[in-house]
Amino acid sequence: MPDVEITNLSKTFRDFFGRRRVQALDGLSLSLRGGEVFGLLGPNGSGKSTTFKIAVGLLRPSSGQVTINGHKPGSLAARRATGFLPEDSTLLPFLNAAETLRLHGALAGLDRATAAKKADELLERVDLKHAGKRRVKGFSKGMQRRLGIASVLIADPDVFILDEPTSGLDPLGAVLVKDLIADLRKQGKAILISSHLLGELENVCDRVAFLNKGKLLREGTLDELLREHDVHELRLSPPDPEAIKALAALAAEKGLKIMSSRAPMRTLEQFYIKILGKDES
Amino acid sequence: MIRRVLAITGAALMEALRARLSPLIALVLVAAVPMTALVLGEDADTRAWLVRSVTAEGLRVLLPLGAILGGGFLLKPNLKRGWTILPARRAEYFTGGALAGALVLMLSSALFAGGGLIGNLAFGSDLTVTSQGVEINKQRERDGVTVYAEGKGEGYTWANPNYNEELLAELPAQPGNDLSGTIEFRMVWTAEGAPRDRAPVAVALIDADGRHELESRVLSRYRLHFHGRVNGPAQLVITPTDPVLIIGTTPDRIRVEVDRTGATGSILRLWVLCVAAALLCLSAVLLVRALATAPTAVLAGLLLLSVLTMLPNLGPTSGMARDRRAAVEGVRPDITLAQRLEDELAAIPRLHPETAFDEYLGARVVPGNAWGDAGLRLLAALAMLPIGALLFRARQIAR
Ligand SMILES: Nc1ncnc2c1ncn2[C@@H]1O[C@H](COP(=O)(O)OP(=O)(O)O)[C@@H](O)[C@H]1O
Ligand SMILES: [Mg+2]
Repeated sequence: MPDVEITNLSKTFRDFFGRRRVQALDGLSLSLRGGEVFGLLGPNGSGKSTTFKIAVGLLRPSSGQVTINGHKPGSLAARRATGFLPEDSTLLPFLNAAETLRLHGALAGLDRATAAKKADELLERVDLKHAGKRRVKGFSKGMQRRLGIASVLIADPDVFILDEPTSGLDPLGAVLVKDLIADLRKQGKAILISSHLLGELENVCDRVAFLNKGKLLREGTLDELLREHDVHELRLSPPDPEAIKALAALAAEKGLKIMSSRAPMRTLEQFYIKILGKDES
Repeated sequence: MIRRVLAITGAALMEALRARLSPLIALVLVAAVPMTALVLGEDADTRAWLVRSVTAEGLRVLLPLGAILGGGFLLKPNLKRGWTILPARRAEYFTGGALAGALVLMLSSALFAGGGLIGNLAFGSDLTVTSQGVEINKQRERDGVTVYAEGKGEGYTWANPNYNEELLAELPAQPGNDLSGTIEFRMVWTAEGAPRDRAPVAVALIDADGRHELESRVLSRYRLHFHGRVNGPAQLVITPTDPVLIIGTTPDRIRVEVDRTGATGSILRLWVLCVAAALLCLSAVLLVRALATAPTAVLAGLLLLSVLTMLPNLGPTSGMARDRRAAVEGVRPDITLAQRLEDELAAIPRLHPETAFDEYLGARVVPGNAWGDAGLRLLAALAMLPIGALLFRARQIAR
């Protein structure tokens, strides 16, 4: 069972002379198991990326520790178990998309044929099939993001650490990533993601933590944190005026207050997905 | 592990191979020597000289510079951070990058040396094969009596003009009647007056016809060419002629020309030598780069280059003079800290063994000890790589 354990993690960035500059993390503790999606939320500079970099062994913590499946970050065992998508793209610009994936496959220990086959599948999965032979240099940010996600997937790790996976993606890309994450959760992987856009994580995370200036503000399941227990929402289809009138009358009879009653608006995102989704299929 | 290193090397090589300018650069490298000779050389002699000197200087000066600049920018931010999403160890990443750099360096220098070879076939002249390894002894004349003394074997044997000392070198048997060759010597100034002569050495021969002077020509400050007729087994007599300059040399610095041959082997040896030296520079720069930024690494590399090429030259001969006087007078003068530092600096091994280049520039075959010299430098370069890999592993990567 994959798991990530973060205990009492602190990180202070010091300058060249050892003076304290920024306290990026201050006593952060989290834990996450397989089959769970954990969202780290917080404004820019709240320490999300710092947490992730410590978890993959890029930075050393000032105090506290992280273990991945019980291993220290940066050890080969932890490295093998982890797939990390950094905040900004680190792809090699002079390789093409297929070569990038094959390189990552080779580094993950796949043999040539398997790596090539998986690379093809993943290109399809992230909708980059048409750009497989193009160099990464010419990719838009969103395309690079998709390719980055595919290159994390090819190694098939247990633990996914994705730093703002949806940044730079168009809504369809964001939906694709959310679908991917849902798939991974079903496969029992542990997934740690971050975002500063709250809406992005809402329907993918099982649990979220709010971070500000390196401190944990709140942590819990979405249900615990967001459920409003003193209202109830009811949606009708088709919107039969007779039935609505009857329901309103019933409510009035029981002494309840109807807070809203109207034809709902689609969000711009839903609209976008609807028209583009139709267009592509 | 090896598979991962090779995968990274392969990816990094792609960058060099796919750069838009690569084909052009390859063409320029191959054409550099022949084109220079063709454009600038007015007669056959000049062209032959140009072919030799452009090849030698390109390999000696430009290659290490290229290694330093290339090495500094090799672990680019992109490559440097690329490993973060890779399931490879950081040390593997470093090694893979270094390997790719070494391959690019070898390939590009091979293209250049190949151009040198082409130039040589087209415009060059054959090189002279020299023999060496003669024994040196010493003779001193005092009150009309000649006293003999054994030389220092492999080391320097010195002759002091104030004691009428001369060096005697046994020559290997000569096939013909013509004798020519070079002597490379060191001078120690006794500080008792100003030196006078441009060439503080005269060369004579003792053979079946008795003792007769040889014609000599100065090649450089420490190098003299001699030629004349020889009859049977012979001894070369080297006489210091300037009363304030003590002259010393070693057996392998006396070379007699015995044959002529093509330049291919010599160019190959020079190439190997220079590649080894350039790899040494590359590893040193990568070592610094593992911890610091590209400009810092390049600066450190340039510093190393200047230490290994210039300082041994700057090391004055005063140290040698002190040693010599101490040996002659039996007193050891106190040396200051600065003087000791001078001695240390003068003793630093050089990036390139200069004699190999001097020989080639002088149209003589590059001696076979180039292989050993190259091997040593290569070992030093290899020794630095694991250190760099470990440092790179220990480094925090914040961005
Ligand atoms: N290498 C660094 N040196 C100094 N300060 C840093 C460094 N990296 C991050 N910080 C600081 O640490 C804090 C947290 O940064 P980060 O974890 O990147 O935030 P975010 O939540 O936006 O990902 C910020 O105040 C940032 O300025
Ligand atoms: Mg961040």
